[in-house]
Amino acid sequence: MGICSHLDDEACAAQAQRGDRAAFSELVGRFQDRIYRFLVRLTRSPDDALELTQETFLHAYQALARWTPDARLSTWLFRIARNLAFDWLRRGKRVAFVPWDEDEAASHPDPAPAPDAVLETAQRYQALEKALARLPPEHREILLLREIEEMSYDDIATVLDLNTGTVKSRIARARAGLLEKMPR
Amino acid sequence: MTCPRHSDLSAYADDMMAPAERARFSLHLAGCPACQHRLDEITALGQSLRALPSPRLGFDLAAQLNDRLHAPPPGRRPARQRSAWSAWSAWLGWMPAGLAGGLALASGIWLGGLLLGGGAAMVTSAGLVRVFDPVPPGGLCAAAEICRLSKGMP
Repeated sequence: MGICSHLDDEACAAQAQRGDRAAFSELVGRFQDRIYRFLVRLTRSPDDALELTQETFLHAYQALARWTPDARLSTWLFRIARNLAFDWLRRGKRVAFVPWDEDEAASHPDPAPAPDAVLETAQRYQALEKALARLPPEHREILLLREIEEMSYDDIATVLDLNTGTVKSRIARARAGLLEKMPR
Repeated sequence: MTCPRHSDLSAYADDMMAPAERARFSLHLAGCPACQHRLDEITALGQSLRALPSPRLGFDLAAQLNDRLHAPPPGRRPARQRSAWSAWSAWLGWMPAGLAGGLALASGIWLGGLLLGGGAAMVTSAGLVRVFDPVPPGGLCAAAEICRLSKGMP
């Protein structure tokens, strides 16, 4: 059992701030998959997403002294990850779209479905991933934060440094854009 | 009530409306199949996105980052170590300029010695006389008087 496995994220981060390295490792373990999946879908490159995930936690470790408990740790980490990803996108390191999840989509079927249903599910996942990849990054990131990370509008506003009114309108535009790109 | 804007439908789907406003929307939706259809699309889209297979790292990132996390952060290198390296860098940086300066000085002294006279200059002047000898070395003398005169012979 981790040294702060019984603590919430903020209490664990406060412990890490006091120099407890095991507490920081615990936080890395809690957030690594969430940050990685966000970055994979934002960058469309699993290798770069891995590198950016590492950079996110290194930046967080170096900036830990500046984190204050009034900010949720999750929004703080996602903000670091998001800023690193957009720096990466601005540097033009974008790669051609690779449907990373084609095989993985097929390996996560519904419980005990018929073969046709497996294929249909895989095709639906693939179509959705492709439509998501064709969205502008600003729309993609806000949908990922809302629909997959299930963040509140206030938390999204903190991550993206926007006001909640802009969050509301941007989520609506992103949804409309994704619905347009989905095959009928 | 007129049909709500798409942004309001989206906020309704996220339950991000004030209770009074939400109640008015619910009334409208009950009687508007077009808005209800749009709301169903938004809800289904969210469910599909949440159902997507989630990529995972598949290893313990903290263990991999351990060495990098526990190294002193960049910019916090001990002052003494950094100053020693800086001193070496400064010396190494000036080395080519020092060598060039030394070479220039040595060649200047040598050329100055040639012009102002010295041991080396004396040796060279004897050679020069031979170059202006009217008879090339090993050549036959056409007129003995001239050859004797130029070589300082009686």
